[in-house]
Amino acid sequence: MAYEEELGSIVTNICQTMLGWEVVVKTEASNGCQNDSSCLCGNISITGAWQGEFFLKMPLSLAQKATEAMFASAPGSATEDEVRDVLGELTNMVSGSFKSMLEGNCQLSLPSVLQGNVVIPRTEQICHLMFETQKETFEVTVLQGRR
Amino acid sequence: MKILIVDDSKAMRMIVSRNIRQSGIEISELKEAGNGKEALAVMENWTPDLILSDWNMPEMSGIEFLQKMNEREIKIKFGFVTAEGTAEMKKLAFDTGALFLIAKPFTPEAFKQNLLALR
Repeated sequence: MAYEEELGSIVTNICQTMLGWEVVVKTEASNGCQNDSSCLCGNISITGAWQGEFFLKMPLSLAQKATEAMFASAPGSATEDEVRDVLGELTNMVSGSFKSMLEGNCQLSLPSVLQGNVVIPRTEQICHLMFETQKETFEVTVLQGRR
Repeated sequence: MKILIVDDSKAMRMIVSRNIRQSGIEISELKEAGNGKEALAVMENWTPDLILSDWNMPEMSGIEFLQKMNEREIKIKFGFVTAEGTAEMKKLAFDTGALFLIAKPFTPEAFKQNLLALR
């Protein structure tokens, strides 16, 4: 099943509604976060009829901008806890909308936010989208568990 | 109106609070809790007129919180504000006694419609 189109709309809608950001789906190839230590990755596990992992990964600088946009606070004022909270909540919103595209009864885990890359064994990537906003890029990845 | 906002995300509690204020509802007091368990503790000494709760939270989820309120025969207007809005979850929410479910991402208009309907 191809999720790219709907997921692209979900992400752009959430960024527009919650952050007031215009987001563009990148069509050309991009490597995303070049330096994993400067990236934050929000993760939610999906269990039930469909099993997999959902990731929202962005540079720390972009996560800070998102936090300031959500809190309507001054540039540079976001604390680390606030940044993780906002990235977790954005991950929760996107994966919650993604869940509604799945058939059968599924459950979402609570979001976790980690620095750098996350490797999940026994999964395959079924969707990967890059987005551009605020002169930076971020990415959404969906992994499906191998049965 | 006294309102209790229950969400494990500080950012989301702040945004929900901002949207309630923008809805035109008169707020006399607004309190917050990070999950259902904390909310029950807050309600030991304070009774809100309306509870707005997230669904997916640590310790005690929103639906467990509402079920616990039913067990204790606590009758307070209750609405969900959640990122998950499948038909199954909506049915469970309404069957358990929720009056509305606002899906994240939301607009101030969604709060206005649901909260003004409670008056």
